[in-house]
Parts: sequence; structure tokens; C-alpha cells
Amino acid sequence: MDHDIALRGHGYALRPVRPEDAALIVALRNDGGPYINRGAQDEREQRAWISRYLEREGDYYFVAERMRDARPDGLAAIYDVDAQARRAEWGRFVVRHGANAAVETALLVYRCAFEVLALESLVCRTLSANAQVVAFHDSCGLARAPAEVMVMHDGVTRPAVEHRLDRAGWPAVEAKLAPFAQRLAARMQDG
Amino acid sequence: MSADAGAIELEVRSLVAAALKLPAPARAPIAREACAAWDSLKHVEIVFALEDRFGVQFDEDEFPRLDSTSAIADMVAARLGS
Repeated sequence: MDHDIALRGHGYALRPVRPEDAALIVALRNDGGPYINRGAQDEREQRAWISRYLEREGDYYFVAERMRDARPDGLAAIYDVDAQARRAEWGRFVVRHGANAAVETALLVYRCAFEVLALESLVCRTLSANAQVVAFHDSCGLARAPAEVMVMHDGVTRPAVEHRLDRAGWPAVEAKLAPFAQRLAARMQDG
Repeated sequence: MSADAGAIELEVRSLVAAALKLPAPARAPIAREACAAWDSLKHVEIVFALEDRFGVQFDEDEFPRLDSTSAIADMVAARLGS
């Protein structure tokens, strides 16, 4: 979706993904995982994907930039927005290896969902094999669905964990994450 | 390993195990790579808890290197001059 939502946090900011981010997205996605969606394998394929994404409604893809120097350290998206039910999924969550962007990127995604898009509920699905990301969502205080869900990954059905955050739970998650984001930001300014 | 360094390592293990809600006492080193519970939020929690406990401060670019109790203990000991 060709959106113009930008959010500034303490040390990181979210800005819309642009076609020229294709190489960045390929590089960041090839640096981690596994992800539910395999994604584009090269810059040309990624540019084509972004062109289609820009035409798609209800899909907000972001680059997380370190505010000190605008270094792009992460990616995240809110997509499959159901405007009537006021719910969506978030994902495409990638953080540059060694960067401290995960906490504030998640915080900004939730702020976008509940304070900008006025959603009531947000879910995310993570391959069960991606254990540290599953643990991250647990640690943030999201509710984990009691049973795994099955998702398609590289043409194979694999188990995934679904987490949910409702509007009522957002203040507690914000209260948990914001102090860490603030302290991290202060450290980044020292650097 | 000096007595001080050994004591630091034991304290680091205890702190990390508590943060990760692992059974205490942690008798062996803990490595982030081998511990699913040591996620990105827990990592930040651990680093700041260590800073508060030992009165040290790590640079932002040192955070990724604090990826095991042994590495942490070495870096804390270096900061403290042990």
C-alpha cells in the first residue's frame, strides 16, 4: 500500500517501504529467518513484489531506521487489515544482525496499529522453529494461542505459533517495552 | 581465572538464569545461541540488569557480543579491572 505513515520513537523511526528498498529487504531477509514467507530472492524480484505491494490495500510495510544516523536496521509490516473487524496481522519482522532494533520496532508497530490505524486486535504468526522470535513475543506479553496453527512454508505445511495483542492489552505492553526502548535510545546517542 | 573472575561468572550465571527463568543454580555456562528463551527483549533486560548490578556500562555495539555468560563475565571483569 502506498501509505505515508511515519512514526518516531526514542531511538528508531518507522517510514514506509519504497521501491528503492528492494536491495535492503533482500539483504536483511537473507540474514536471518526462517520466515513463513520465503520472499524475493534478488533485487529485481523484490522490486516487482514492492510494485504489487504498493497497489494492495490494507498493507503497511515499514523500514525501521536508527534515528541517529538513519541506518535501516529492521523491517516490519501490518497487513491483511480487516477494516470492519478492526483487526490485522503483523509480520515481515526482520532485524539486522547485531542491531538493537527489535524492541522499539515492535513498540512502534503496536503504536501504529492501536493509535494510528485504530485497530482493535493484532495477531502475528511465527514458525515454531523460529524459537527466539516466538519467545520474543511471549516476553513482550502477547497472548499465545493454545494450539499451533499450520502455515505453508516453501510449499510445505509447518507448525507456527500465533500471538495476539488486543487494544486492552496494549498499555501494559507499552509500559513494558517503552523503558527499554528509552534506555537503548540513550545508549545510541552516546555512541 | 582469578577468584574475582570466577565469582563474577557465577553471579552472571545466576542473573542470566533468573532473567530467563531457568532452573537455578546454573552450573554451566549459558549461551544465547543454545537458549530459545534468550530472545531480543530478554537480551536487553539482561544487559541492563548486569549494568545495574555491576555498575558498568556497555556500548551499543557491544550488546551483540554479550551472548554467553562466559563472554559477559569476561567483559564485566575487564570493565572492573579484575
